[in-house]
Amino acid sequence: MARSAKAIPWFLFAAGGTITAFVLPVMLFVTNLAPPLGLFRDALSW
Amino acid sequence: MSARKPYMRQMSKTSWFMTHSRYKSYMLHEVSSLFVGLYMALLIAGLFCLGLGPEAWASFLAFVKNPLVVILSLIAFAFFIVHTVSWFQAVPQAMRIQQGEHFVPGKLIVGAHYAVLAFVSLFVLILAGVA
Repeated sequence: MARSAKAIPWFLFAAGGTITAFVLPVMLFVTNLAPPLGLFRDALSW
Repeated sequence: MSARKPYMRQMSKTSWFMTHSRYKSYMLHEVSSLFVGLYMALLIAGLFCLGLGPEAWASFLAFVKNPLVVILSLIAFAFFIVHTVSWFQAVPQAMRIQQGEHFVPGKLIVGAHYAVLAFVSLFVLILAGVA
């Protein structure tokens, strides 16, 4: 069976989707939903 | 010129994915990437603001608190959940773990992913200041 030479692009694609799936929901909560709710004031202060 | 007249099924170019629930969930997953891209642009802008100083950071926080941005963020949050759930559903198709004679059941792999998701989320929340 011929081996595909496209492993690297597909690996990057899969890695991006995986990191997105694990990290983005909580990241969005901290950076975009916590400020209007007044949460995490210390962490979000300059 | 060829006299062939192959049968071409009538298919809408703009709403073909509405014809089947499987196509709909596929499209829902694909559209979530738009919101991921937008959020990434916002995060990079936020990093630049953080580097520019306290005033720029305050204006970034003010932007994030804008009601329109909050509504967009809530929609993006829903799409991120869609992405996470559909991505985890696809994992057993791509990842077949053999153990002796058998394959590890897909449910176990998906469950492990949810466990890691909970752990990562908790870790980020603790970093952000949840007790």
